[in-house]
Amino acid sequence: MDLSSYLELFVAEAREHIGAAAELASSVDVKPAGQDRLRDLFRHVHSVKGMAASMGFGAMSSLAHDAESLMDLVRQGRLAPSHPTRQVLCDALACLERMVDRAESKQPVDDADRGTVQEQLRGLLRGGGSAEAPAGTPDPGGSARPAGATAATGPAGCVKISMIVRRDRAFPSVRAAVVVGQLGKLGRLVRIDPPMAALRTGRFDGRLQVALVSDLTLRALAAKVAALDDVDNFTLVPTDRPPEKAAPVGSKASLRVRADRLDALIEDVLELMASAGRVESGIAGSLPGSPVARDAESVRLLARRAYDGLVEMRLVPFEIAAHRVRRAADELARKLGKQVSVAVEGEDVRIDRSLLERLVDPLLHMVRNAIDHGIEKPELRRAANKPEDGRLLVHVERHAAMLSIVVSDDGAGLDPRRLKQTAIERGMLTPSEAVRLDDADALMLITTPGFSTLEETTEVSGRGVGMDVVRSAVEGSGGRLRIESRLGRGTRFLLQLPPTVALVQAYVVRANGIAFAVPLATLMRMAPMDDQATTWRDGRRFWNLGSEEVPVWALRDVLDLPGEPNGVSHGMALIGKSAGGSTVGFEVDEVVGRREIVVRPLPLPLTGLSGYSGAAVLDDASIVLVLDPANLPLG
Amino acid sequence: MNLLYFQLGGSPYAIAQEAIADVAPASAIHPVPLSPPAVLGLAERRGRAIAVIDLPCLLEGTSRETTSTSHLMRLAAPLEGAAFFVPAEVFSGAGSPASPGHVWIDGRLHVLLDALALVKASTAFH
Repeated sequence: MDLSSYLELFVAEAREHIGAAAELASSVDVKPAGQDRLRDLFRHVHSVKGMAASMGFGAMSSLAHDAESLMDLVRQGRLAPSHPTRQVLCDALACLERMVDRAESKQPVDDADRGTVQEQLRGLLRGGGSAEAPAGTPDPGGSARPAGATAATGPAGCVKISMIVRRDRAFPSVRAAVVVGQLGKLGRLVRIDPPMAALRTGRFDGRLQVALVSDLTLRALAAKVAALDDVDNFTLVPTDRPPEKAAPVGSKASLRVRADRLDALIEDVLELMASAGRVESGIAGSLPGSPVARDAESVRLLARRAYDGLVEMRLVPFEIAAHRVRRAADELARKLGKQVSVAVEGEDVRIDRSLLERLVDPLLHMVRNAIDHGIEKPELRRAANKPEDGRLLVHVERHAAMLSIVVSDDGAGLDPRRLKQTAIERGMLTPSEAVRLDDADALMLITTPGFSTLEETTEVSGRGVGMDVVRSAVEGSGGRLRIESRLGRGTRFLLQLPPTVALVQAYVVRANGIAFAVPLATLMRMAPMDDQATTWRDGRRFWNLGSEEVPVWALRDVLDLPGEPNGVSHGMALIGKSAGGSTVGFEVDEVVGRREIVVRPLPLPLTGLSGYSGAAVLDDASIVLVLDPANLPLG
Repeated sequence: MNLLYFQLGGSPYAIAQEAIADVAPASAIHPVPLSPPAVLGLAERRGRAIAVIDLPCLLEGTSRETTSTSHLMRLAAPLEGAAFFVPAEVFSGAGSPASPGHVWIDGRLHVLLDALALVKASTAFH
């Protein structure tokens, strides 16, 4: 059987399981709370084992089996979850991930380190017990949960299951609905409280109760309920209550769709939206208020709803990449003998999957760079009156139409003078050019191909490759990279990226007859530019914001717009923050109205043009440029 | 080879048909302030904004007004976000290689255009 058509699916699913397992593996322990993690960890690795076996990847399946056996011993308390145990587990997961990478690139799957890692696993297994799970071992997690069931051997019949659904995770009502769906597979649901209709509206206090008629034994039923991810605690009581009115149970089955097919559908719906907008405008002009005009509006709104739904399907949380960042940082810090505390903020920020895939490697490079070159060894940090533990922070945030990612460390920082000197020595700059280079531009020298200040290259970085690749990946995605650094205090890499697509609330404004959109999130306020509110000083107009005077630039001047103002007596000031953090204003001729717009990055050859976060096509098929006020070029 | 060909300022040009996604009459072009001079602006195509590159500006150093014969040639992937503005009729036909950078079409020598090089040039052209 040709399995190649399943390879893509295998790679995607295996990565998800390995990623989730790696996240859990870093913190397994034997405390009661840790049993949940162990059970989940076991389940993820078990899934990888099964999938690998199905694909014929015997070495991968064998390694996953040994890792699974190790976890089983830990779960049974026969092996301590000591640091070496966790480390071997993490190494096994890293090895599995490399094997998946090799499978994806259609190379032989086996990894050079697999034998060593597997030998270490087996060494631990030999010390702690048999690799084979002893007979009668309960299901993973089965012992972790209180189950009110007795060891009945016959069918459970009608049982009442009262549960607490985990509320420490996102979307508890959705999780409750998923739990109901999972319970529905164990038997016939005869009562659900709260009902599904309430769960769909998001009303849920964490307590869920169902009555279920099942052919499973009480013991088996209890084990199945205990294995549910989102159930925190439960009781299971046989009941003689006669079946009540059957409750409808919605299907929550998921379906994998190829990203390119989804993209093609999004394109079609975009075109449908534009066409529907044109039809609506045409009909509204000729037959205003008519039934057909209302129908045309409905078509446009439905197309918009379909578009919103499709775009939502493309988004994934940043946490998918976060575990790789943490793992890469931990591995490298250990290897280099450094102590680093890694934090990721904004894991719930949802990012287009394709953009995230393009960013993972550049992110990992910056993280490795920070640990290799930035954060000092403990003795050096002590000598510099710094805590021995270095800090590495990856902060992700969506602001208006832009996605912001900051990688910062509290390490040694970069020395602009040394960077300039290196550039001169490498023939990349003349001494006079170096003198004219300010510190911000000097820091960007490290993104020049072939640039490295290290006298000896290291295995990790310092080969003069990497930061140039990071910069081109960011700019290739229509974004910008900025570097800030203070010698001895640390370095910040700031990535600003336009999302692949984003629905944004914006004001449509005009200056010299040209329409622009300004995302609401970029504005602090909007105010008329009347004479009472403004003053002139040194040829610059200022808007009086309480005790603060805000400098206001005319957008027509900033963008050198052709044409003339539309003749209105007073324009409007859009007040926001500049990239430097100061409050600034921009004067436009008029505010046309508020719209929800779909922002897309500017296409080639306009990518990276300063002052814009993208462009949008309005419902009438006209185009607006989306301003990025923080980065408008102020002369 | 299949080609699209046209004349600008009396000079014949051609481009490989596979480099072009579609050709349509030029529609309204929205200006993009501060963009390179060789970029005329953005045009709406299939619900998306595409960048319009001024081919006469790049090839002849001049720019033309949109006329009834003006066309937008939208580029094929991976450059599908860009289109060439061609203020002329566009024809399709078969051609054969001549000297490097040139092709014969109906016995006449045409300059063979490289879409990627032109897109790159449009960002640098000032």
